[in-house]
Amino acid sequence: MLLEDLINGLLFGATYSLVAIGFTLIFGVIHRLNIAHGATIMVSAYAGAAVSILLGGKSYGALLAAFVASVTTGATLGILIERVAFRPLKDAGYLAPFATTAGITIILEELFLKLSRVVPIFHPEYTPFPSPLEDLSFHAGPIYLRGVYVVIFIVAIALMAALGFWVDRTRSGRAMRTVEQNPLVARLMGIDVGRVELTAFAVASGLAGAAGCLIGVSVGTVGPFMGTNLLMISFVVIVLGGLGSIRGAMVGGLVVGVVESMTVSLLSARYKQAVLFGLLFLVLVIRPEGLLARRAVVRD
Amino acid sequence: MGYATTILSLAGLNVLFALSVYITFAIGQFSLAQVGFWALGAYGTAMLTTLWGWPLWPALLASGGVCALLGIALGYPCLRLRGFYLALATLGFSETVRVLFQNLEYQIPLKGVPSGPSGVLGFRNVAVTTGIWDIFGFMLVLVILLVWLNHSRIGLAVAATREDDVVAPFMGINIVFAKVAAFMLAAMAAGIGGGLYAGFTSYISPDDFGFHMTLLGILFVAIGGTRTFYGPMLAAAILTVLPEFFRFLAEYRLIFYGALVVVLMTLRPRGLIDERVDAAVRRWFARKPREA
Repeated sequence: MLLEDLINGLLFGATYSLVAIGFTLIFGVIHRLNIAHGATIMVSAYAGAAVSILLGGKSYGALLAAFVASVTTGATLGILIERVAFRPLKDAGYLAPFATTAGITIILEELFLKLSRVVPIFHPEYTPFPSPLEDLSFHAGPIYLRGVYVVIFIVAIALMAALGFWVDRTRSGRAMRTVEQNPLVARLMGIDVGRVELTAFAVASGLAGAAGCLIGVSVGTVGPFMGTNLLMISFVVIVLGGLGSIRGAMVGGLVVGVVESMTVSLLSARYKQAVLFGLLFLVLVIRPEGLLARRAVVRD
Repeated sequence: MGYATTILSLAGLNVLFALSVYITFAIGQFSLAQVGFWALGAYGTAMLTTLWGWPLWPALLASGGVCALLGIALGYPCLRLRGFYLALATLGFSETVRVLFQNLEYQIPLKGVPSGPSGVLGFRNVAVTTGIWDIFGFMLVLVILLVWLNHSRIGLAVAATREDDVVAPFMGINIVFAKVAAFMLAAMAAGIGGGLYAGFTSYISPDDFGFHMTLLGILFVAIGGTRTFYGPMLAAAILTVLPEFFRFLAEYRLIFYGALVVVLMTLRPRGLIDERVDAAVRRWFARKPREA
């Protein structure tokens, strides 16, 4: 029973990894928090749900189409957010983009609150995300696993592997790491820093879109305020993994997934967030560079 | 209570919240703990006045005092953290407080009706004790305190710590004391403000004190500018009163609100009251040179 919760938490935690990787990728490149990251997830999840509902929702083809729709929506929205909320405020300090992305969050959440009442295929409060994975389940000996968790875990790991390949092996991935290290030197080496930033936003938000689709499928519903909660969870993940570290975010997401499901099974679902944030606070005060960070970095 | 009085009171409460957020920013600390203290003050005051019949101000001072002590307790461990790490740790504090009140069930019968905090359902029928003069009276006290601090050695110490907390100690400034004191003052202001809010609305719920309120506090400071204390006050007043003129937008009002935030921020990236406006205001108040 406990082992079952542990494994399910680990599987679902992979989606938290995806969310947090996107967040940390953007932070690594421009050193600003993208508060609209949560809203990006929400909008992409709605896009996926809409496609899935329109296509009947019970075939794997429909699911694939929904996934593509979510990723595309996420990436597009990410580019828009970079253009509107970050590009004009490049020299304005860290507070200004915090405020503009918060403004965009308010706009998108209210818009989808409104849309979910007006658009006929949506429902007020929670819109269902139909998928053929709903009834799938696996039995590994005495352990029961939700099929959808296994699928989202595999997809999430595949996406992370692709991301790892991009960051480590490709030209544009290397350009991004150079900008992370030192934007000025990157510019002197002929790297188009503006384009790297835009790429980072597109990739990070595309991952957020993928996470939105996966979470929507596994929960079964999407709602206008689902992003805020995920944003909070990704804060915990990046603190565990170290702000700006992609590998830290991967592991941190799995840890948070396990901690969450353990809290629910041992304590109560009501204390889920208190435990997570208590953990965040303790980690920050005792080991500010993150649990998983290998070396101390100057945090400023 | 009339419509104008209600709007003015709401604006006043938001201004108090903006001031408490500003106080930590003034010393260069990106703290998101204010919502937590606001919630503690609201619940504390509501319980003291409603359940045990305390008058408003003793209840406010008691909750404010508790928040001040907690502010010290939170301020010390947070000294190790900087920038976004401090923001995330203090956000953790605010969220933990919210979850605490989501799980707090304490009710005693009052006139046959069980009253008190009841978890996620919140605290209904809080005694309405706050008048508009309580709000603006406390605001005046805070403003006088801030003006006095700005013109004292403490204000200079705070500014020096904000600009460079590595150099400040070499000038004989005790930055540990300065930072913890700012944390404490901000916590106390938020605690009393939250108490006034509880006595004003008569209904408080843990979900009022979530991440959205945290964002609101940052909006006040970002749009007003962190340079002066009256910048965030101005931003809080504008962001409370201006949407009232757009009542015809009805359900789209919050969308407009978000757009207003984006536009204001893009037009004034360093806040409404930035260095240049601040300098102009200072010149205005400075003693005019005598004509020779």
